[in-house]
This record gives sequence, structure tokens and C-alpha cells, in this order.
Amino acid sequence: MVVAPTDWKLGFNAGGRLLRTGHVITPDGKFAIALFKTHIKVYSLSTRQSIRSIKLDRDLSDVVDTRLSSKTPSWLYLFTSSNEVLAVDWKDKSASDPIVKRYTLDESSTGKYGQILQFVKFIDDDESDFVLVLGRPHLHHSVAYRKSHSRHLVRFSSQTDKVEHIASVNDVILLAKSTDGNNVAFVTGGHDVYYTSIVGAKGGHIRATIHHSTFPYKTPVISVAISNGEVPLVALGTVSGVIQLLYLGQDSKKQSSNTDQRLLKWHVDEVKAVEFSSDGSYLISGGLEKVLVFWQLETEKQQFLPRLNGSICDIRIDDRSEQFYGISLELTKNSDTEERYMEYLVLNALDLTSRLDVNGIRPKFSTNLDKKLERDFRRRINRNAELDENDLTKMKYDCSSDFQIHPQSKMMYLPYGPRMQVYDVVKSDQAFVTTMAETLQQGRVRNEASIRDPSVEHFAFTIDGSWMCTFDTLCTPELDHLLSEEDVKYSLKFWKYMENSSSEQSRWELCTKIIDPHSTSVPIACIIPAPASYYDGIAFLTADTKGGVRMWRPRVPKEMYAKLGNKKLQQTAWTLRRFRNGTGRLETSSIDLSWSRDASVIALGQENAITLIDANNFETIEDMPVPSLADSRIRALDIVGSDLVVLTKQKLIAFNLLTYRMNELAVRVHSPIGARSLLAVDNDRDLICFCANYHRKTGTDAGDYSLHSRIYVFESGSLKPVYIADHSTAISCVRYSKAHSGFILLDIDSKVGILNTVTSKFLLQEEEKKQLDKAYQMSALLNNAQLVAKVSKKEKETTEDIDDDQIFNRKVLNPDVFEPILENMEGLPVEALFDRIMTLL
Amino acid sequence: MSSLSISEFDPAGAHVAYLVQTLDTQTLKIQPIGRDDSDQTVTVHPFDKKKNPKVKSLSWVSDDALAITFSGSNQCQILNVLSNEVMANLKTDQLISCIAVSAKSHGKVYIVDVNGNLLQYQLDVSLNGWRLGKSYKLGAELRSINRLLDFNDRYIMLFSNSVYLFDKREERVTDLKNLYVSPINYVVADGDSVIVSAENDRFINVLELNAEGKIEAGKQIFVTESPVLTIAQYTVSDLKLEILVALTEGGILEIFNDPFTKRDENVGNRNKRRNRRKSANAVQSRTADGKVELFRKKSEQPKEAVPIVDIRLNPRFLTIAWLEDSSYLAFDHIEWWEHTSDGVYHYKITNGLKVYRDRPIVNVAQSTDKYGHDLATAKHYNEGQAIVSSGNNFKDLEDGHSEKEGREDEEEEEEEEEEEEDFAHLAEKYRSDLGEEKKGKGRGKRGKPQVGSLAVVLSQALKSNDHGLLEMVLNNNRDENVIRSTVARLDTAYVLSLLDRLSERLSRGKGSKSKQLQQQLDTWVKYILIYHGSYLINLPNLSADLNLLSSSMRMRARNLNRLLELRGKISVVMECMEVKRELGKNIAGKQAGNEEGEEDVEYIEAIEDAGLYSDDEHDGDDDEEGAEIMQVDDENDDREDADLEDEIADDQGSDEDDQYSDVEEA
Repeated sequence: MVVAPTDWKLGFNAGGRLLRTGHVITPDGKFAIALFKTHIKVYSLSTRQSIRSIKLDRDLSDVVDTRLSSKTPSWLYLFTSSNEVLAVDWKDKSASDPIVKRYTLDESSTGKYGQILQFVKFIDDDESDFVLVLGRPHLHHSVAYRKSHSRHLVRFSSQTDKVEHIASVNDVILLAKSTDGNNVAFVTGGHDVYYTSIVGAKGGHIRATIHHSTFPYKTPVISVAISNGEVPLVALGTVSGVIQLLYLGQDSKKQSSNTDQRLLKWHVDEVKAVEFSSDGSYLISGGLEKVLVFWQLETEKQQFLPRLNGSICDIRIDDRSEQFYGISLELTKNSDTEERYMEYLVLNALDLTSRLDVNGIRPKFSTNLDKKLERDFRRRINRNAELDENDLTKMKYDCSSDFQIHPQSKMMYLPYGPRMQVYDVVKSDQAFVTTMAETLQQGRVRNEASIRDPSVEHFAFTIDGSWMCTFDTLCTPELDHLLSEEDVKYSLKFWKYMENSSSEQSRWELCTKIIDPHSTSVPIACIIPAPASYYDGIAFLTADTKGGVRMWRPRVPKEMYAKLGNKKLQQTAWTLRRFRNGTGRLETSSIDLSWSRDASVIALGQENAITLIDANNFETIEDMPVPSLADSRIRALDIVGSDLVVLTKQKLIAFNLLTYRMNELAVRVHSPIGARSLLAVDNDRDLICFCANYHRKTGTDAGDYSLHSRIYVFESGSLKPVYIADHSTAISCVRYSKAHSGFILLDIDSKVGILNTVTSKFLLQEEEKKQLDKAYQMSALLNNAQLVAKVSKKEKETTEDIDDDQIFNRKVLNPDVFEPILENMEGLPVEALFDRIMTLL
Repeated sequence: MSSLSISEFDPAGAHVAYLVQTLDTQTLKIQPIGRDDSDQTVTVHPFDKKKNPKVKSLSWVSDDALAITFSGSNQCQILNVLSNEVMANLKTDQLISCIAVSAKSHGKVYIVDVNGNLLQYQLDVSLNGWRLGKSYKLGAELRSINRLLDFNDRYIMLFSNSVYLFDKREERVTDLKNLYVSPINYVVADGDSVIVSAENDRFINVLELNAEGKIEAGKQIFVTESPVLTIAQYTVSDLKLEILVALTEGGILEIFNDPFTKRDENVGNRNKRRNRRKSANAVQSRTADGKVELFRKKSEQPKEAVPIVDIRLNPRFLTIAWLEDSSYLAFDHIEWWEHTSDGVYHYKITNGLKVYRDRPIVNVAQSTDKYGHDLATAKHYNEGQAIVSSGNNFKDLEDGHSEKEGREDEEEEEEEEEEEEDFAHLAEKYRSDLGEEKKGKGRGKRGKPQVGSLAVVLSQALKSNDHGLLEMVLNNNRDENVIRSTVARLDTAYVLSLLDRLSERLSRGKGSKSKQLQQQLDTWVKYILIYHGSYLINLPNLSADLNLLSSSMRMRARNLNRLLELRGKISVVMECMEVKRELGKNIAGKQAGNEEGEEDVEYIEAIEDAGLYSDDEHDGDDDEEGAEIMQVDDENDDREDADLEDEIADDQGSDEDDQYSDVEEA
């Protein structure tokens, strides 16, 4: 099928990465606003749905603090490290520019103070004067490595654009403000606590006397909170898990005595976040244990909310909406090899149930991108590499990730560790997360951290999406020096899709688990589903690192169970049906499989050899061996129509299996190890999509290179691409989705793009808008007229009951019914006959 | 058990007050019925557990005031519903046993206390104050009154098991009538008659007051299908419509349309009834015309029934209330009559009516699903139900391209062979019997037993699927020669089934009782592979057929590598100790030598040398051992990677098993 290049449209609209901090809950308790790297999303707390997505034409990762306006509830103030204050209207969607106000702190006046670090409070209800904390930023996220800097409390007046100094504290490591913003506490490198209350009126002078207090220092403090009120409490969370509670301001002269200090002990490892409830009666703390702890300070009774999704790294309480707690969770373990992903959770303070969970898309990149990118950048600067402006340089590292599109629900499945994130591309929201391998929900502390979770390495869906096959590995922890230390447990799991009307409630049920699927200590390197022509596509093919291939199919459930009609007993077992042994010694991860559409031939690429296997008897087709096509390691292999498309480390070629000749398509490319993710095949139109990532010079400076990518769509027969598109950052994975009739792309900023010929970019946005509008209406409906809706629904249902009865009482028409009509036909006019029939009906 | 204990509709029928048990305290909630009312504000009034242990009754004094009595208390609180505040507190001398608000005059409340006093209170217009109006002494026998009704200006009806008529003018009980075995639980006044029901009783009685001021039982008795909890009655006099609804245990409504009209229409039964009853005045019993049941979702099977907890009638609708989330009430309004186009008013509920109500929309945002699982957490799966298998399970392995044909051929062949066997069957059997006899004799003769064969018995056992016989053959045969000759003579047709049986036993007897038996089985397998290996190799789908054998063998050999490794490590440690011991001896010896003579020589170097030496020794040993292990590893890898056929055909397998068992013993 020839597709005109103009028909293709590429739109990157969904996805995005959630920022660490800055998420807020509106004072009326109806909405929550979450910050993503490229946009802001508004969620309804009653429906858990995203109701608005606000795109700002800037990168939001420099936002350091946010505040919802009390004066104009639809304004959200963003404070950025580039010393800007932006007011964003999050309610009005008709506005062309969501940024309604923009103040910039003058360089000349802030120069000596540094950048904005935190917003403290508004001076008055007018919200024209801000109290801010300025200073030099900490380079490390981790508090333990922080250098101390001076912190300056300043007042910024938006009318006069003036910055007025209020107070300064030197040598500060940590700071915190109380929930109402009246108290600010500083912890210094010298293990002192300074705190101040900010009192002042609009016109007048702001008074902020800094009080000093000491505490017995034992272990480094990594989190701090200060309570409201004139006699504030300060809580210090330490590395060792002890929370120190200081009663300040009682008697400033008697500071040294330890009587006004209390220790709260429950945590075993780092207390990463502490916060006081707005009345100061509770302290809420959290850390690596993934447990939120509520301390009732009077009685020191504790209450726990365990098994959160990640370690707690921020707790936010707003005085105006104190029935909700906003909690930021860090989902990935604190390791260097993985990306840090956040989750924003809104908890109901009353019953501690979740009201909302906001997640970005979480691809698992093969390397830690943030680190690699930074290193690469630095290296370039060091080398001072001079390249032409047009010179394109290849990417030295692998930024690939893995995802699959489920054909039935159109959801995107992203594995990370033992779990699978299911992401709705259309709604641009996480649908659910499901566990795919046995793991503990508890947070791991101290040496428990060396216990590793199983991780899903490969997975595939059958063509119709009714089955999923996952392969996971579990490493033995290096706790003791056991003989089994280096053992890896492999298991192949077959899951059945249990569909439900709402996609969120659909789930996967484990049917069969195969331990050591390719015999002991041989991992699987590739899983592909069978083509539709082979047993309706209900089969999976797996290849191991040694080149062994195995085919799995479900066994027909036992007849006995079928007779009983008991569906529960009808458990389907997937069993090994055919196998081909590998070559034995050679272990390589560059293995790929492809099964031809007519199910007759399986192509196996191993290192740089391609073997064709007869799918019927699993024997190599030896009469016509494929010539040595690859000159380097094979990255990916695909049979497109009658062509064999091979992506090696150095080239992309197509070989016609029928004519036994090379096709025109032969391109020299540089592909990284994970290049399997960069090639996708559309089997309906016989198209190939390949993404190439490269650096391009953007500025005049030596280090000004940015990552770009170019997306090619080829036909297997010709060298001329059908379509070329450019994207401003690197692509990490591309997959073909029949459901979307196009290619789905995922870039390293976790944005999802759709490349197809059907929906235009405009339509995509429309679609998203529609979805959001629908969600908004839904939430509005719920919020405003719950009862009206309910009653009207009831009424409708009551009438429905009766209607139903009428419908169900339909008459059955058959010749017998018509018999009485046909009696005494003589002399009957046609009209009368018609009447008779009508009465009968 | 429902968490709802008492519910009461207000006189206007706009609100309902009900009590819900929340943990260990009772909470009063007042909720609008919400037909047109769009705000769903629920007034919540928790009771202090210590002060007011248990609420006994709720009764509406006016549209916004609720009288609450507590069991074991002499207090009665008047709660203002709008402000949710207790406006007044009424204290009596004795414990209150029941309370009734007069429907006839405003603000008049009657209270009966446990001492049998009937107290009449008048409330202020503002409902803030109480004034004791009159006090009557009822008498000792009237202490267990649990209901009372201000019937008219003159009479008050008091109910226990019986009904008492109290004349206000004469200030005494003028009449009584025994009605039920159990106490009366619900009373509804309907003009001149009173409808009563009792606990655990299926009969609803109608009482009337005749002109002489005597209580008369009505002409109707209504019989429900299960005990009555609450009754409601309404008359639309203009339209001549009347309905009686009874809420029965199980939360089902039973409807009596037009209850007080005599039903003589049932012509069919008329004569019979006449015959049975002598007078026309005889009491007529009626069963319900229709039932109303409430269910969840229509589609779900089986249907989840929801008990109805309270009812109220108004001129048009029957309001039913049920509990949602065990915490608040939900309502539904059902028309009980309809005006059809022909101008006639009909009762609408004339037979069974099933009402379907899903859980309300409020629960859309419910943060937990039906298994109490928070939506924000990851979904879990159940591994318990899954089938767990191993990658080495070749049971379902499909044959090559010609799988079916091949199979069929095979089977045919087998059948042919079997037929042949049948021919020779008797003769062989005979011979085998002889052979056994001979063998027995041989043994009995104490001489060297004659090496015979059990091929015949074995094939018989296999053919007839005789487990006992097979067991005998396999167990009572310790002579390797016999096994060998038996296997050698065994027909190939039986080889596969014998192997199956053997592997079954092998896999079963993991923690077997006797090691000898296992070894014996190994011997059997070994000889089968030796003698019939060529046949087995030609089988089309050998891996699948010998799956059990191969997997059990694999299982047994699984830990070999690790054990060898361990042995290696242990021997390294042993050697080290050995070397150290020897060194110690040497040093001791040298020291002794030194003491004897050459004192000039410093022996520190010697120690150093020795230390070096020992290190070398240690390293060398380690290497050696390592190499050994490596070798074994390699061997093992080879074994694993080799084709299955080879593995089985190879008699190395059994050798290894021997080795393995050796290690175990060590």
C-alpha cells in the first residue's frame, strides 16, 4: 500500500515525567494540581481523573516551589530557580496564555542572595508582597552530601519590583516553614537550629527576629519541620531513624538543657520527611520503610499507614485544605542504576485512604540517563570537541527502554522491576499498576536493601491480546556467602486477560508458571507471539541466550471440568510443545526471533548468524541457508511480508526470502545494544519504522549539543523512506500498535508520541481535550449535584424497570398466532384484516 | 446483622432519623429523604457512650425536634435537628419504659415509667421547657408497657402483649384484650381502628373501639410470610384507595391493597368458605397481594438481596429505605397507585415487584475496590491457583511434522504385536509358571541360584496392567543377572510402558524407604537403556514419552554440581589444616632442634619461609581443587547440553547416580 508522505502525522502529546515537588491541593479540597516536566495537570479528587492539562511553553523542572492563591483561587504561583514568579490560571481553559502574571526578581538586587529556594508566605491578603528564601542551591539531592550555604529571608514586592532583606542565616543545610508560613526553621552545619516568626503588615516593616537553639547532635539531620503557633515545635529527622523534637521559644536563655527535647523512635532508617499537622497535635513522618507514621504528640501514640508504593520523600499539608495530605513518593530504590520516578499521592486525613495518585510514565531505560547525559555533556566540554554545525554525531550509549501496546485495551504496558505500569495513552494517565512477580510491598532498610526484587525482563502479548507472557529473573541476595549466591531464578509466566467493562478493573490472572523455562541457568533473551495463522495466534516462542528456541501453547482444559461447567477449575496450562536446542556453549544476548506471517518459517538471529527454522518440525531449513547477511552483531530481525529485515550493529538491510536477493533497502546505521526497541514493523502495511538518535550542535559553545532523533518509515523494498520526521529529543522505544493503526514512540523525556496516517495532530489534541472535558464534566456533576444526579437516576431506573417489563413481554410471532386472523376470511375487506393483525401485534 | 438499630420518619415525611452503630458507640443521623431536596446534608449526632449507653427509642415531637429515650435511663432528650443541639432534657423519677407523642394535640408527650405511672407532659411552644400536665397511676400489672398510643381525646391505648384501654376522664383502665404471645412491636392508628403487630409474629391484627368503649378485634387478620417488623398504612379517601404495607424480617415488603374491604370476589372459594364459617361476621384472614424486594445489579447472578430497613407511605409514593455502606440510608419511591388512561385508579403493586438498585454514584470515587484494596497500590495476583511447571517438562511435546501418522502407525504395530502375544500367551504363561517353580526349587536347594528370566511374568504384568504382579517382579529381584536377562528378553513393545512404570516409581520414591530398592530400579533402567536403546532412539517423540524419567533423573542429579563444589571446598580446608598441623610439628621440631644447638641462627626467617611455603601450598591446592571442580563442571555442562536421547542412552547417568549417592553418604 502506498502512503503519501503527507498523510503521516506525528504528535507527542501524552506521557511526561512527574516532578519531585510542587504539587498542591486546592483549598476547597476538590482538585489537586500536579506538575510535570512539560505541563501542569489538574485532577479531580472525587473522580480521580485528570480534568485539565495546561501546557506551558517552558520546562517546568526548575520550579522550586508553588503556592495556590487565596485571593484568586484559580491562580497558581510558580517560583522558579531562575528567579521568576509565574501566576498560572489553572481553571480558565479558554485563555490563550495560561500564564497570567509574570514577575522577575531583578538580577541586581538578588545577585548577592542567589536564587529563589522557597516561598514562605504572602504579607497580606492582597498577595502583592512575597516573603521568599533566597540562596545558592544545593547540588546534591541527597542531604547527607550537602554543603551548607547562607540563606536569606527577603520580601519581594511585586508592585515596586524591589527586594528587601529581612534576615539571614549562615551555614544552612536544611530549612522548613510551618504550614501557615509564619514560622521558618533553619538547620545549620554546626548543628544549630535557628528559627524565626515572620510578623508584619503590608506597608509596614516586617519583623523577623532570629532565635537560636541547639540540640544534642548525634547523627546527621536530613529532614526538618516546624509547627505553627507562637511557641513552635521543631522536628528533626535523622539518618539513623530517630526523630528529635525540640520545644522552642519556651525559655530562650535555658537553651542548653536537654529537658525540652524529646526523641521519637520508630524508624529504622533515614527519616526523609517530617511535617506537623496544622494544629500541631500530630507529627507525620516517613522514610525508606514506605510507612507513613502519625505521632500524636501528647500521648506519643503512633498510627501507621504501611505499604505505600515508594519511600516517602515529601509531605505537604496546606492549612487551607488540611483534610488532605499530599505525599511525594520515590518509587525506585535509592540506587544509581535506575531512574528516579515519583508518585504523588493525596491521602484523606480522616480515613487514610488514597484520594488520588498521580504518576508519570515510567519507562525503564537500560542506563541511568540523567547521569549518562550529564557525563556526556561534561566530557564534550572537556574535550572541547569542535564539530561542524551540520555534523551529526552518534550517541555513544544506549537509551532504549521497553514497552508493549496491549491490542485489546490499547494501553501501554511498561515493566519496571516486579511490576507493570499500565498507561492509558489517550487519557494520558496511569490506568493501574499490577504486580507480575512475587515481591514484598514493604520498604527495605539498611542491609535489607541488598535483597533484590525480581524484575520482568521480557514480555509479549498474543496478537489478540488475550494472553500475556512474561519472563522474570530473580537474583539471590548476597547476604551470606552461600553456594547459591550466583544463582538466578528464571520463570516464564502465562497470564490470561480478564476483561472488565472499565479498563481499570481489568486484570491479568496467572495461569501457568514455568520455572527455568530453558532449563537451569539459561535466561530467555526474546519472546514473540505466534502469527494469527498459527492456532489463532495463541502461542509464544521463546529464545534463550544459547540459541535454543521453545514453543509454548496452552493445553486444552480437561474435558471433565468443561462438563462440570465450573469455570474456576478450568485452569489452562501452557506447556512446551516444541523445542530446538541451542548451540551449547556460545552465550550471547544478541538473539532475536521472527515468525513469518504464514507461520511456516521462524528466523533466528544469533550473534551474526541467521538461521531459518521450519516451524513444523523445528529443524533448520538446510536446503536453502540464508547467506551471511550480517557483518556485525544482529540487533533485530523481522520478517516483513517475504522480506527478512535485519538490523545489525552497523546496518539495516532487507533480504528477499523468495527471490533470494538483497533488496534495495540497505542503510548504514549505528545502532546501540538496545536497538531492538528502535525498530518496529507494521505487518498490515509492510512498513518499517526506525529511529536514529544523534547529537546536534545547537549553540556556539563547545558543549552545546543536544539530543535529537529522526524517525524513518521505510517500505522493505525501497531505499527511499516513506516518511521522515524529526523529534527534539532521543527516542527510546518504538512499537507498532494495530489498535492505534500506527507507531507509538516513547522518548527519553517519557513523552509518548503517535505516528500514524489516521489521526492528525490536531485530532489527537482534540481527542485529549474531549477526554479532559468529559472528565471535568463528570467531576463537576459529582461535585455540584450528587443528589440531583442520584435522584434523577433513580427515577429513570424506576421507569426503566417497567419499561423493561414491557420489553420483555414481547409477543412471539409464529404462524400459529396468525391462524385466528385467517379464520372466517370470506367477505372480509383488506382493512379489516389489517386491523386484526394490528390488534394482534 | 445490620448496623442500623432504630429508624423513624418525621411527621412530614421529609426526614428520617436513624441510629447506626459505629464501632462501640451509637450515632444518630438525620437525613433528608431527598425526593426534591438537592442537598444531602446528613446531621450526625454521636452519643456519649458513658452518659447514654443505649438509645431505646426515637420519636419526632415536631418537624425539627426529636425525642430520644435511652434504655436504663430516666432521661429524655429533645434534640433540635436543625441546630443539632440538645434543647431540653426531661427527667422523670423513674426509668422511662416508653414514650409517645400525641398526634392529636401539639407538643403533648406521654410517658410510661417502670413503676406504671402514665405521665403527660406539655412542651412549651419553643420546645425548650417541659411542664408536667397530669400523672396517672396505672397499676402494678401495667408495668411492662412498651407501646402507647394517644387514641383520641378520651382514650389512650397501652400495649404490652395485650392492649389496654385507658380512659383519661375516668383515669383508669377500662378495658383490655389479650392479643399476642409476644410483645407488640408496632402500632398504627387508622381513623377509628388501630393496626398492631407483634414481635416474631406473622399476624397483623386490627382493633376497633365500639360505641361502649370496648376494644373489639377487627374483621380482618393479615398474615405475612415472615414475622412483621413495621407496618405502614395509608388511605387516600378521595380516591377510595387504601394500602397496608408490612415490612417483614428479611427486609421484604408485603403489600395489602384495599385491606379493609371484604374480598368476596374470589368466587371460587366462596362456597367453601361459607361452609366452613357459620356466620358472615367471621374473621377473614388475608395474605399479601404483592411483595417488594430490593436487589443489587440486575445482571449479577445470583442476585444480591438488600434488606429494606424502613418504609413510609404518602398519598402517592411508598418510600423504602435501605442501608448503604452500613452507614447511611438510601431511599427509593415507588408509586403505589396509578391513574390509567381509562380514568380508573389502580393499585400498582399487585404482585411481586423487584427493585434493582446499584450502589450509588458516590462510590465512584471510592478509593478501594471491592476487595478493600486501595486503588493507588499495585494490583496483586494470586499465584496459588496457577499451574507451576518446569522448563524440562516435555510431556506435551508435539511430534515432528508427521506426528499423527507416525503415532497411528506405532499404535497399529503395537496392536499387531499384542495379538501375537495373545497367541503365545497361554503357553508362555505355563512355561513361566514352571520357570518360577524351578527357580523356587533352585533357591530352596541352597545352591547357586539358576539365572533365569522373568520376561514372561513381566510382560504379562505390563500387558494386563497388573500392578501387583509388576511390583512383585521389580521388588523381589535382587540379582543383577536376572534383571539383565529379563530385560534382554523383554519384547520391545513393552519397553516403553516398563520404563514409564519404572520412572513413576523412581520419581515417587524420592524419600524412599530403602535405598536398595532405588538402586535396583536404577539397575532396571540401566539395562533397559543398554538393551533397548536402539529401539528407543527410533521412537518419534521420545522426549515426551520419557519425560517423567528424564525429569526425575534431572531432579536427582540437580545438586551434584553444588555438592562437588562443596566437597572441593571442604577438602581444601582439610588440606589446609593438614598443612598447618605439619607445619606446627616442623616448627616445634625445629624449635626443639634450636634449643639443642645452633642458637646463632635466627629462626624467624624459618617461620617466614614456612609461612611462605604454606601459602604456596595452599594456593597450589586451591588451584588443583579448582581445576578439578572445573572439570566436573564441564562434564556436567556437556551432559546437560547433550541431547536427551544421549543422556538416557548413556549409562553414565546411573554411574553418576552412584556417585551422587556416595556423596550423600559422605
